[in-house]
Amino acid sequence: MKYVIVLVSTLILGLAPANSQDSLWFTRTGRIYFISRTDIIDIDANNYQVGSFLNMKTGEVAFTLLMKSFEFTLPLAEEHFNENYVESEKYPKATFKGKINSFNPSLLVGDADYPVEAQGDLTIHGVTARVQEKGILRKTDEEIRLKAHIEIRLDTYKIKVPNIVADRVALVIPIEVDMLYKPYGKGAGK
Amino acid sequence: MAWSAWLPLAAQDDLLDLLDKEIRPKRVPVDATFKSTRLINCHSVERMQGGDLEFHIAHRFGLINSGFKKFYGLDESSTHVSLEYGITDWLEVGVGRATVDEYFNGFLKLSPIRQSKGFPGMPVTVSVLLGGMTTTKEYPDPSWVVDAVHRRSFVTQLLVARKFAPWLSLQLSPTWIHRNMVSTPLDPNRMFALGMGGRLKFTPRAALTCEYFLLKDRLLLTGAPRFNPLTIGIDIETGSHVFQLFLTNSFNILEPGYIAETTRSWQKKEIHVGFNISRVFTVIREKK
Repeated sequence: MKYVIVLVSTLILGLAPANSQDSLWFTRTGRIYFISRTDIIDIDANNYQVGSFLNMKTGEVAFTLLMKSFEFTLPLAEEHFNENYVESEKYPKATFKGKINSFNPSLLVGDADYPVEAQGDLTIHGVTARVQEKGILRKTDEEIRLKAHIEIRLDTYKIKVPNIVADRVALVIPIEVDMLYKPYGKGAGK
Repeated sequence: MAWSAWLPLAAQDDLLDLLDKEIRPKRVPVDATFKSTRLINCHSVERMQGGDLEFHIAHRFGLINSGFKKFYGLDESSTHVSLEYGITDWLEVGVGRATVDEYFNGFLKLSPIRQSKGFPGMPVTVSVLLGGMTTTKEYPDPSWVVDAVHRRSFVTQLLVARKFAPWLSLQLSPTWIHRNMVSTPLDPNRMFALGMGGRLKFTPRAALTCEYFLLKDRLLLTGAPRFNPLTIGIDIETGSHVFQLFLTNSFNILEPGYIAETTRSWQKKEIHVGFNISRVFTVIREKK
């Protein structure tokens, strides 16, 4: 009898096509932080409205955010960022699409950090470039946390810094990513 | 929708497309309609954001056509210095001092309506300027016995602007001026003027600006000619400074002065060079 149940359930599961949504994890309130450090002034901002998907089967990840949703510590910096540097009206969004290298979801157990490296295409200011990011994944009962770190160069994305403020804007910008995913379709999304 | 689970994987394998579906567009306010809190002479719809303090210096030289003796106007000056603070993102308060007629002034600027994209959208930004000023100048004849109330003037402006594109912003500024005492019997105590102006941004940090006021009842003032003020200039932004350089026929800087009491005319080549410098300091940083 046991064997029959196993056989039948295997058949049913086997026949059903893979439901990709089961392996999707989602957030619309992810956080991305960046800071430009110079001797004269630190300019930093948080975006708390980052949308992201994580595919736990394939290791694919995607992010999207509105440049206008960055909240700066210095209010005037926010205006300059949108107006003069990233041209938010022309290029409202930044996106990332990539994949975690040699991803093995079965190692992601027991509320412990799982180091990951991802590669993908980061689009900012209308320019797409290949980037590497390093981070950790951590799974608890109902959530997956992704923390990652990227460094970008402003010139890669054709973001121009005029000479007059060159000593106030860093050329290399570290970016911190912090996502708390929930299973897609259950509480998150919809 | 059980059957949707049976669709082939490929239909939703681009995660970015799926994100676009999930993250609905929201209301995004349009920022930086103008670079400065002033169009040139006239207040713009912009104000300090909450916690920011602006130190604003306005300066007009004398007449360009005053010749070498007066060094083409550079000897003479009319200035106004003010401190303007954003209490919230929509409420600014300012105090200042003008040299012409020795005015102290104060104002409130409220921005109840912000131009926004998305849903619900809003086509324009609207700000309201409420200003009052009092002169500390001694009367020409010390025997005049006049109440302090006669030293006061008031201005109310409705500022309506739209950023049509990153390079083009236009503003309409209906203005009501009330002066408790005027300089000639012909000048009305109350005056209406319609201001209009705009900017053409030709690089991310520089813009061409222009403003003009049409005075109602101007032509009634035959005894004391008053001219419509016209100002043309450029804005240059360098980080936390905005420089405005311009040519204007008005020497006064406060509203009752530059709008209602402009006695010089472009047609007679009576033109002043002027500049404004705005420096912004962040006094209170938002805690996150």
